[in-house]
Amino acid sequence: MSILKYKTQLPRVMTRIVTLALLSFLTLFSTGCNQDGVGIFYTISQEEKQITSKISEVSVYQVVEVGSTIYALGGRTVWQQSGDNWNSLGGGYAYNIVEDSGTLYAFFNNDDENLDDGQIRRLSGGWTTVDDFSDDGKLVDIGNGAYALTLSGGTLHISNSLTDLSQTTSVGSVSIVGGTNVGGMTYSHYLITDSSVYGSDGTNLSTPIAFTNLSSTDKTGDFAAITDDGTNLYLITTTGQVFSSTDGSNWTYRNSVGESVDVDFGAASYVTIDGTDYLIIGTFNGYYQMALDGTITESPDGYAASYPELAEALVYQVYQAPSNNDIYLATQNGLWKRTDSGEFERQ
Amino acid sequence: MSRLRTFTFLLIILLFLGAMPFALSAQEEQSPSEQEPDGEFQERPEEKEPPAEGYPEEEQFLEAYGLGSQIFTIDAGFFIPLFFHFPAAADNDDVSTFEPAFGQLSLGGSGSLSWGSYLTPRFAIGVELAGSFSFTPNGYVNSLIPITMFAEYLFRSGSFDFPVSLQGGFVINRVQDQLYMGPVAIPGISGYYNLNAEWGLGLSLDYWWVPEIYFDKSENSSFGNFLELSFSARYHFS
Repeated sequence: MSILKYKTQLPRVMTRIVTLALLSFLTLFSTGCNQDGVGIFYTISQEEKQITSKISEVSVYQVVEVGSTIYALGGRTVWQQSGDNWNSLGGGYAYNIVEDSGTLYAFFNNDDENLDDGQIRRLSGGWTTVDDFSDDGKLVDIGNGAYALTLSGGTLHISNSLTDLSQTTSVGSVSIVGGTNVGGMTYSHYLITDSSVYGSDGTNLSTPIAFTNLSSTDKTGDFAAITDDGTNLYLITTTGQVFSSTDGSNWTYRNSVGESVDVDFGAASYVTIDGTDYLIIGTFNGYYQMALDGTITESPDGYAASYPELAEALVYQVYQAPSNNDIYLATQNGLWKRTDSGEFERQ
Repeated sequence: MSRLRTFTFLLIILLFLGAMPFALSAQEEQSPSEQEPDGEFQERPEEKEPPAEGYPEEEQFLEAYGLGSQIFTIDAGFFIPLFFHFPAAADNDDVSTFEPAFGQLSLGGSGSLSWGSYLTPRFAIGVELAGSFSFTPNGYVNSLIPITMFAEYLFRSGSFDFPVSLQGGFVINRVQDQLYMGPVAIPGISGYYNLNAEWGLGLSLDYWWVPEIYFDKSENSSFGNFLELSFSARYHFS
């Protein structure tokens, strides 16, 4: 190569290279980093293999244990667990499931075009209708073998039998959001609407109990869920506030998880983990675990890397199975089970 | 479905960048003296008879490449996750200093297109666009798209070329809804068998070092380490 040619081509090549270098550095300096994430390689290193079944593809609203078998309400169908698999039981559009005396019952609404009314059906081989109603409704297990059914017409029926709810006299015109039973208080059951607390003996309904806030923190939002640890009642509001009470009337603010809470299926529950009592509060963005004194012990930030889909899921219900204390979270992103080791398995 | 989208995305990138060498060659200036006259046949230059005294025993060695020689390389191969290095693992209960990556990421695929130009017969610099993908335990795609500049030194032996290179630039790192743009360094070595003056085929081995630095959550800062083993085709032109 001649010196002349070298001198001619060198500036051209260098110009190209310098231009490319400048463009590269300008692009690099204009880039942003992963502001909201916890770290890509960190997330990957923590990701747990999740069990995937058909139920993982639907929103799951409720879970209930019957005998030693777990049933779930997902995608408006009732599912039965069989080993690692889940089988849809069909039968139409179910809106609630409850357990009574070792039998699964479901409330079917007339969203199913084949139904003109609401029906309570019992699972016995197939579905058998045990009661029907002129309206749609919402069936709530309020504990100790009692159930509350709010019909769309506004009437409330409370009974310890699921086969004759339609025959019981309406005890009011209120829409029940949730209920629980507790000992040592004025009433054996406490029920909530979106704005009031009621007492019940399992058959009748009291007048609204005045909500007295003993704390300086004002209540915000409506009532979303009620649960108890045997001696204390816990109220969770739609804004994520937690109040406790020993009499159903005087309430003390404990803490707030700072996230919205769903009202439909009981998004908060008292649970026992390794002998320690907690509240697990499902929100629109994952769940929070709270000690009974109000200290938050787990939050979505802590498990987002391992279970990102759980951390961002709307949690409809928190349920602890009586037989083995497994904790289930029914969520928008499928059903999750907490195992003894504290890990979550997506069903 | 997500895997199909990823393959489609990579295919589109490869097709798009496949036009790069033609665009580059079109940009090359041609002097009037180098252009063939339109509609006319060029006379074949006369072949000279060998000198009566024969060719000299010691011929001057000519380098194959020189200033202005250009190379276009296309790679496709396997992407092997090795490990993640967490230097601040002592502040993070969830991780160890070295976490295996291969169990958390599947064997993946990679591809790249690069263009370079020689400054000397043995030294070239250029730019490269690459891409890789692999899958997390739950099927999410982790994609790395480095855009780098490279420098390479060429070792030659007979019909074989052995370029040793170092790339530096930035990488677009993505998994699920997380996106990180940061630096990347990729040292590598290749071996090519030159089929003719223009084409060489061979294998490349590249080590991807991908820092992911966070100043506000330094305990999660990490360095991804990967190996790329790929088949390469290299085109030489001026």
